[in-house]
Amino acid sequence: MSVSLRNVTKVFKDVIAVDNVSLDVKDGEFLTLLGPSGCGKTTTLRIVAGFETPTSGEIFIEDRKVNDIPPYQRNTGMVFQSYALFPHLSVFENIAFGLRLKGFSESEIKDKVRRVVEMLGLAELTSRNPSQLSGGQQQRVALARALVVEPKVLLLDEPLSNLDAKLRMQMRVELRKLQQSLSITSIYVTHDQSEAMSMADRIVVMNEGKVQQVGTPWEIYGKPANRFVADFIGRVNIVDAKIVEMSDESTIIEMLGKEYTIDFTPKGFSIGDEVLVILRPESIEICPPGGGDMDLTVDRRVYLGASVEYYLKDEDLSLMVTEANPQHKGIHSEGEKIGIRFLRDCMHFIRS
Amino acid sequence: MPSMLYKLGGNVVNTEAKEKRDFFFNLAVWLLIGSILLFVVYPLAYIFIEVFFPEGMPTLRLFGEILQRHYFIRGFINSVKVATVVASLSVVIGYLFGYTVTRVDITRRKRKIFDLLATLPILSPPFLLALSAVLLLGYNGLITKGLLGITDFSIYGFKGLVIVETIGLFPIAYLTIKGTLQSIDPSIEDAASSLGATRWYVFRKVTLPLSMTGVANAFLLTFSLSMADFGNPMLLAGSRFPVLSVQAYFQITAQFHIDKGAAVALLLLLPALAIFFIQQKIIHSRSYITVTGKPSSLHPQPHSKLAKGILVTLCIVVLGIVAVFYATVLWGGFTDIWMINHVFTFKHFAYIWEAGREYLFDTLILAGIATPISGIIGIFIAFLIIRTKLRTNKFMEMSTMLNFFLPGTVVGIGYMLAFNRYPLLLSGTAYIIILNFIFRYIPVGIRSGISILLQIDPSIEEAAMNLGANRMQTFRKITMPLISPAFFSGLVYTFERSLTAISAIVFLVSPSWYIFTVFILDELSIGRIENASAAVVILFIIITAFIWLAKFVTRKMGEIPTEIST
Ligand SMILES: Nc1ncnc2c1ncn2[C@@H]1O[C@H](COP(=O)(O)OP(=O)(O)O)[C@@H](O)[C@H]1O
Ligand SMILES: [Mg+2]
Repeated sequence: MSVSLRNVTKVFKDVIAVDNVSLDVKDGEFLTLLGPSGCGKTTTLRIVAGFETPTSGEIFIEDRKVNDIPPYQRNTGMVFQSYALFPHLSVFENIAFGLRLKGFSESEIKDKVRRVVEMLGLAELTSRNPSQLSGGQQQRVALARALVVEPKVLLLDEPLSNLDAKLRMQMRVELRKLQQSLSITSIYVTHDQSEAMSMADRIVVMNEGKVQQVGTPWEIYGKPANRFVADFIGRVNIVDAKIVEMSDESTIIEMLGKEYTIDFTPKGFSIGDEVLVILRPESIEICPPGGGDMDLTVDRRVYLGASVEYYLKDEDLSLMVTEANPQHKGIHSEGEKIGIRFLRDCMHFIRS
Repeated sequence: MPSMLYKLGGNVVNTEAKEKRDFFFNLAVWLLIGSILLFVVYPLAYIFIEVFFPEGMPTLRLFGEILQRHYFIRGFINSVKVATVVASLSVVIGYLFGYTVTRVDITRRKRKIFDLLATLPILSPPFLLALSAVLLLGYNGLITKGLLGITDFSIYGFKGLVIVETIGLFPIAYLTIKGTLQSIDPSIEDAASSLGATRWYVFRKVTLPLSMTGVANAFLLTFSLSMADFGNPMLLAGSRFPVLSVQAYFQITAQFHIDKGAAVALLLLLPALAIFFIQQKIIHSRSYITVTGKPSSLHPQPHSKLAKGILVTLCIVVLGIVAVFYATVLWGGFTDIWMINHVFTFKHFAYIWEAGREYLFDTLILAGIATPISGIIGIFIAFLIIRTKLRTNKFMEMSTMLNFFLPGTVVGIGYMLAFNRYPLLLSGTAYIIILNFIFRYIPVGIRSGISILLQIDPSIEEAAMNLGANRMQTFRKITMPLISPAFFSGLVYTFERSLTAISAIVFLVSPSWYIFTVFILDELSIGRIENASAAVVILFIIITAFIWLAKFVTRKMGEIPTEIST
């Protein structure tokens, strides 16, 4: 079932929490809202659930406008960050809550609850109280409770943020598998970019209530639409440059006092444009001094095991470079002069 | 913690747009607003109408008359004088206990006993302390005449009133100040100590300044409660030391000057209104202390032997006096004739059973009907205040709070005036008493409701709605079960207040419905002091029994974890 937001704005007293947001979530899609804390993700989700009324704009679920439909008639399944389990009801009754309201018979309820608890590995726990469960178990109960009513769309607000790191990784995989097997349309809110990257079909990057970019993880990381997205997703070096020549299959830019020829033409730019070049730390290669595009000094080195980070310096330039597998490639020491080479095909341009 | 951030941002389930869909919910809200207008605002307004528009035309004649009469001016001055002294003493004693219990390194047992005994007078039925004062210090008093042989000492008047009201009201000051002291982040005082400040210096420079809002609040509260007191001055002040509440009562019940009674009520109402609004300002000014969060646990610190000795001794002296006052009434109730024939007897209790039984049962029935209704309304308003953004929330909270806060005399006269004419001819019926109980004690329910609702994560209720429960279903199936322990203890308090109510009720009683406190007043007015003592003892036992029962029951049902929020 699809969900659409059309020019949705939400203003609280003096804050514009959501600023003219338009989105389309396709049937069965896993869409992630990603952005820093306070950027309006939760508010957007709550608008879809019906807990907030947009100041302006329209919301559609399955092509039906739902602005005036109260939350209890929208048939969205929400998983809250705090889980929001009913503390006075057993696990079984928590999960059965929505079914009872929908008027299912006792045997149907038993049947549906049994199926969902088996799917989520909660079968042994149904008679417990929520306070007797671990964080991960509570999380599953919250999920089970939302899924059992077969909602049109599943809404998840940072559902994994209260779990410890290891469990979080594991749940990412499980949750994504479950979502795919049920092919349920899902909107997933997180401020954790690796969570978004690893789970989403598409990511919506938000900042200060505005949508910055919508795209697949691949596009968001590789082709960030602006400086904010580039900065927020992963780590990045941003360097000023100017386009000096452009043809059908190649471009020449002037960057850091040198000219570089690139084998593609960035869309929407023309000769003479001032641009920003996005250089991911892993898109810069290390080579012997004099053998690359330029030489720099290692100012600081952070060894991480699987990789090593170098903070390189010159009089007026600092760059971050990561090199994978230092065990194999060797490691450079602080103060050492090394050469670097920019991987031309990984360069990406945005407007300055 | 983004979730914490959000909680500060607004603990509110926003549901503006669906209002129209929840028919019953809206109906309930509108009925509620209507009844608040009718049973809270209208009676108060009527006092103004009676005084300033007696014949439909605006006039200052009546009010001017009152202000020119020396008698009423004295009443006003006496009331304010007593209230000022009582409030000052209460704050000092309240602070003594608050500090000793929260800050001094006394044993746990001592702490518990201090806390228990210092809050005991809150449960006093009206007249209890005044009766003791008479039994101990009256012309025929145990101490005055019996021990010291003095007969020219008069407990009637300023001194007696101050003693009795201070004993009755310092517990309120204690609770208020204790709350403030507990909400001060302990590390602030620790920081001062670690910088080299002595205990005394920390107290003067840190603890006391940080607890000043509590002190101010306690002063205002006890001041207005003293102004509003009716039972004690009725017995102790009489006509030689007139105070406003008693004057209003005499104007209406003895002289049948209803309009003058209303004007005197206005004299009571105006300072009470002023204090009410000052107090609301203090509460809402959200000083930096309250920001540090929930009341933390106790924070006892080592004190010098001398300091500890002085504080503990003072506390014990005060509690000793409290204990003597209580014991005296008990003794009085079991004594044949006080100071004349001190034989142990049940005859006063037998008399109460004979003559006062019906009063007691009627009172229990009326209070029993009013209490749950009041509680449900209170909890519902609490729910609206915490979980919705209705524009009428502020009005509901303030007006019911005002009705609770204003002197009973004012509220009672308002009811008497407003409901003795067509189309709302309620005077003489049980309804007027029940309605008075209901609307007087709604804030009790609001308070307990708010405090527990703030602890419940709003997303629990949202989760229910998300699963298809409308607002009424959510309230019934989720909110109500979660708040029921607090709801229940609120009920008990309301019931207790209703049983012991007197100042408003004296204007509303009729020959068909009997009120036990009025029965005690009648016994007193014909000088049957031993009978009155027995009646007060009975009332005290009933109240205490209910409180203990409630504690027991809430403990049984209170197993739901209350720390539900994230
Ligand atoms: N009920 C509310 N009242 C006032 N401001 C709010 C409310 N809810 C959220 N906000 C504000 O709206 C902005 C967006 O909040 P939110 O949607 O919770 O952000 P996120 O989930 O991305 O962290 C924040 O500035 C927040 O303070
Ligand atoms: Mg959020």
